[in-house]
Amino acid sequence: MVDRVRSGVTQLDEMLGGGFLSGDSVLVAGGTGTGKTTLGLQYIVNGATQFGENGIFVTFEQMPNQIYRDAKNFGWDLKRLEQENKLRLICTSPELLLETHGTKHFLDEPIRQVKPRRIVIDSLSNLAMYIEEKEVRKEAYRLLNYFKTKQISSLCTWEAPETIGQSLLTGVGLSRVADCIILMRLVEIDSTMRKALVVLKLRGSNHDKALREYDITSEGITVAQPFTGFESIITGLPRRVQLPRSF
Amino acid sequence: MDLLTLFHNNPGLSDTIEGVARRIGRTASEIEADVKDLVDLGLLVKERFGKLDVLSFNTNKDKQIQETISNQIIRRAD
Repeated sequence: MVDRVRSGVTQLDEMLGGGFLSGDSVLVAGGTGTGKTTLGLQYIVNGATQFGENGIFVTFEQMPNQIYRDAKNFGWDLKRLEQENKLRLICTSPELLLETHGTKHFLDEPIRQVKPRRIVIDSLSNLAMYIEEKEVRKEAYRLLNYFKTKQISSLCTWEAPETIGQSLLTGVGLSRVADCIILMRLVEIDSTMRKALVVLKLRGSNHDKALREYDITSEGITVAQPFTGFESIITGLPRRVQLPRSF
Repeated sequence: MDLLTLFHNNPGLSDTIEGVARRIGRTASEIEADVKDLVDLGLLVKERFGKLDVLSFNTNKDKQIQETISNQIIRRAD
């Protein structure tokens, strides 16, 4: 029986056959406003509050007070979790995650203090601002393996332009580095922006291949039923499928 | 003042001097003197990490200074 790490988003865990595989590296790719950070926070908060797994949330662009505020809107009290030493919110620059001080890593000390089973890096795309494109895969591989050796399951967000979809991931080779890839994207249907989520890859396990609609509610991400009656949803501009006439 | 407010509101901030400066719309050289003052006061901790200097907030020292100020105000009011 494989040890699973549940996100706490029930329908997503079902799509994954029970959750992510323990110790795996998960890449959540999507454009702006798709809810990558929200999913990351939900994963960390649920870990600490529902599954007894402490977590670290590393943010590069957003300030902690913004994250505390946004999380509070979903009913997640990050400050309380920090006081209980179940969570650590770290705001820093990507270059510090790339820097090694002898054999020490920047995250060694927080990991020693919090003893996390989960970590979120928001966002791995920020690393790309500090290194050449050809180095991104190598550095991401190094960082994700650092978490694996510490037996920490990682979830990294990745900013993927809406028009490109999956191809950008393969462009820098991250699709091979990550064990699991979730793509979140906006979809225009009847002049309304809706949201679609798909598990593109889950190494070593079967998973739901359907494109499902999801929403960002007052309680975080909720995943609904698969889209039906449309094709090319992944492009962001789906077409209605002509259903065969019944005679 | 901007620097102190930044760390006070974001105690989880642990960044390079350049990174901290960017977060308040300044450059590293512009905040250098203020950083030195706050490090000397013990409110900021500066640690060398590889080639980089990392700044973080000393929340214990912050609490200590706040308590001292608060006690001074109470004493004067008495």
